[in-house]
Amino acid sequence: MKIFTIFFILIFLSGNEFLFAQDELNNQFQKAEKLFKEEKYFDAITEFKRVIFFDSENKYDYESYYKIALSYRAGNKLSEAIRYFSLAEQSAQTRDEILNAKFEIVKLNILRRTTSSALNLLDKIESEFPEKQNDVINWRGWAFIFKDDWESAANEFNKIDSLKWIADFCKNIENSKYSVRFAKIISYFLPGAGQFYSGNYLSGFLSLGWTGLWTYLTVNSFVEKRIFDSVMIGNFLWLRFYNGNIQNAEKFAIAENQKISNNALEYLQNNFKGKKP
Amino acid sequence: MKNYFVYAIIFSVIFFGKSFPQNSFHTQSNILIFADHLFCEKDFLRAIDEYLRIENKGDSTKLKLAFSYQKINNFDASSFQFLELKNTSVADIASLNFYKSSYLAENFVSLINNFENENFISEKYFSFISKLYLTARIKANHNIDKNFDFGAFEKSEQETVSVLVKRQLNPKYKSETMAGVLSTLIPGLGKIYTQNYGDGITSLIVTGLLTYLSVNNFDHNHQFKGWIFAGLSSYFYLGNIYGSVASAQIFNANYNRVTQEEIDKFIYENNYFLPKEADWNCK
Repeated sequence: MKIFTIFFILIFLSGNEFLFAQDELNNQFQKAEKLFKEEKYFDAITEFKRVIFFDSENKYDYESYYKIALSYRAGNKLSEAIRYFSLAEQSAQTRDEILNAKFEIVKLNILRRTTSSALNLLDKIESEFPEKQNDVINWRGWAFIFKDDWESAANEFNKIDSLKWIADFCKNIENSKYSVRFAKIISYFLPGAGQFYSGNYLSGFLSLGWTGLWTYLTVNSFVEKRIFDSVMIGNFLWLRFYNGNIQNAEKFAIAENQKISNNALEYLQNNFKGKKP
Repeated sequence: MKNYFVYAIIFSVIFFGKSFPQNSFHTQSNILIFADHLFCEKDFLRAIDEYLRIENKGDSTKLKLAFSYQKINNFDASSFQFLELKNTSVADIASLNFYKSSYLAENFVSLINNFENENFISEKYFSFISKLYLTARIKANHNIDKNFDFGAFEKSEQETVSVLVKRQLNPKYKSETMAGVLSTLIPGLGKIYTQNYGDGITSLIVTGLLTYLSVNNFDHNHQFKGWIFAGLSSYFYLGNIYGSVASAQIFNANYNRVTQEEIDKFIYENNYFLPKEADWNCK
């Protein structure tokens, strides 16, 4: 009888040991979670790594990898974050977990502007998870926004009724942008016109004035049959200012477009309430 | 009575069993295992934090701590940690890496002084450390003369070392003053002197042509164009002098850069004269 009692107690004890180990793992995980919530990301990563290392049953692998990735992302270590989201995906147990990890990888690729990777991954998600097509469209739209391709972004968002307003917003941005090619072409015909077009009036006047002066002197020398003078003025002065005018027109148009894109992104960051990278 | 004694033991085991494992992930042995795991994962920053939590560090742990510091480019800390391993079982490898840390930190004077004062030199790796010391002297251009002793280097290395020493001993610099003066006398000549041939010939032709046009326009009473060409030729002439001086500076800076890069390449390709790094039992 006594032997049986001891035997049962020992069984109870060994079971308890297992429970204690699980308790401890749970405590360790809670500790890591707490650090994560307190935004102490460096320490949170260490503690989550400890959880993974000692978690022989891989119970907390997915959450730990996922949180490590989020912590790296918070520290702007995007490549590391992608690595850990991939590990989270590998240790995921459910379709939702896999999808979450995949979308996080997409978002990071959008943020670091590796658009083709983001788009490729979205294509795969679309074929594997057809029920998530709306999310795929949303992220595809964002990928195009970060690629500065507002027209393609508008086309994507247009596919979903609830996102039509953002499609219109993207269309407006596209329309309000300056055409770099047009700015250059009009500067070929009238120096300074490209700068006027992009609103840089002083630069436009200067280009027009200098090119006009050197054109006059080049022609004047030619008329006076001082051909060599004409060639030299044309080459060293007129051509230099004429070329500069075209380059300026291009540069200003690009800079203005950049401002428009940045303002639009800032607006979306503050006012768009839906899912965004 | 006997029964009570057995139950007392069992319940005390349960009681202590409950309280002990709470921190078992943070016991000294588990911290060490976890630190080694981080070290193998190359997460050196976190490995350092964990190694520092270990109270009685063994030599191997101290060595890994020192390496971790070296890997995150904290060379002051790594040198200090390697030095702590003097007279231990890992002194040889620590000595090598003590010198490597000084080299990587570009503390060449400190490296040279330590070597010359025979401070922490492993006998086993004396030849390796000698090479590091000599390369540091070449890199820092410290006490190099034509009697520089190449003896420590292998025959295959001696030719490269000889070229590097010559580059440091007799640098083929271009004089900035000479370049400026030459371009003042004949536009473009300073640039040709600094081996910038294309720019030199262009300067000569453009300045000459513009000057000719200026004189010619004044001769034909075209005052406005005469002044325009005079302004242009002055601009090119002064620009050519300034450009020649700058060209000499760039030439010299490039010369130094190439020398330093050649030394870096030489020592990097030879793995800082270190034997192959241990794999630290990382899986």
